[in-house]
Amino acid sequence: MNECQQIYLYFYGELKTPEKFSKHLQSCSFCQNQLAFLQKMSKAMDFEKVQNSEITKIKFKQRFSSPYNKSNKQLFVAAVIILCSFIAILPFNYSQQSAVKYSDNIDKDISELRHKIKNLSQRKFSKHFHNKSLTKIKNKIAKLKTSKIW
Amino acid sequence: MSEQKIIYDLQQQKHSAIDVLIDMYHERIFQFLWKYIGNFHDTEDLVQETFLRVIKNIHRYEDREIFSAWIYKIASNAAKDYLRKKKRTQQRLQNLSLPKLSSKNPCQEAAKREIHNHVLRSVQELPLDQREVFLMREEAGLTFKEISQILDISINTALGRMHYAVEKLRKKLEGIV
Repeated sequence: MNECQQIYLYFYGELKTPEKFSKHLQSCSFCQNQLAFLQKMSKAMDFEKVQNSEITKIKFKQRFSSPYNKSNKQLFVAAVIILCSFIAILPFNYSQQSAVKYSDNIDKDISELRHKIKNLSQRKFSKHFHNKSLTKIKNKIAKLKTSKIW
Repeated sequence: MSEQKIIYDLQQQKHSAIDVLIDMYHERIFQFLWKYIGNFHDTEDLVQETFLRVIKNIHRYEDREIFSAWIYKIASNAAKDYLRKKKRTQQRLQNLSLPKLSSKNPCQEAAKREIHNHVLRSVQELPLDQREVFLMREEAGLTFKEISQILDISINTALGRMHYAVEKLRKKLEGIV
């Protein structure tokens, strides 16, 4: 280690035997200048501490509370999803149950069922129709590709 | 609360330990990063990032390391990552809004503040490796031995970087400080 580099250890009080370096310091003008500069520099650096408010600290604390609460949050979200889906399913189940329990009017139930079957078959028909038109369009495209236009 | 207790509590994911950790290190890390970066809002973000990294990586902390040194290492890495990103967009120096030094300042306090700003600006213009050694010693108060352990370099290298940093600062601040 260059002896002059020890000035930093000396300045920050890290030398085990500072007396030894003091002797060098007395005879070395470079180290004397360096020491004077370090003292001024240190003073200038310490002049002002930037204010960081308590609000920022609180904000941090709030933010950092999240990593450990993550699992709780996830649980909460899952619970909400389950609750919502339960609420969404409930009327359907209830109507099914009520259909079994309170089906005094069988004719009404039968007509309802018919209506539902009709709807389903309509959907099936529309799906079928859709598929049919899709195959038609595909065939047309295939024909166009093979035609002379291309 | 002792440091060991905080570390243990953090590893056990005790929420109260985070508050204690922030109370203990917020100010120090903020000042360190402020001098490293020189931009208030980005410093705030980086302090958050540092604490987040500390909490996430607390299980990686080893007892043989000094806890404060380990935190400063994380802060320094966060600052380096930030500056690399910033360098890409070439905006680092534009974001510095430090006033220029005027010799005709009637108020002594204001003059001192201007000197301080000049010093900070010069520090922020130092190369990254020199800046981190300089700030870790001057601002964070870590010993050269600790710095060398954190940065995985020899004490001589740390002293060399410090020397180059001080020399550059001396040239830049000649006649000001």
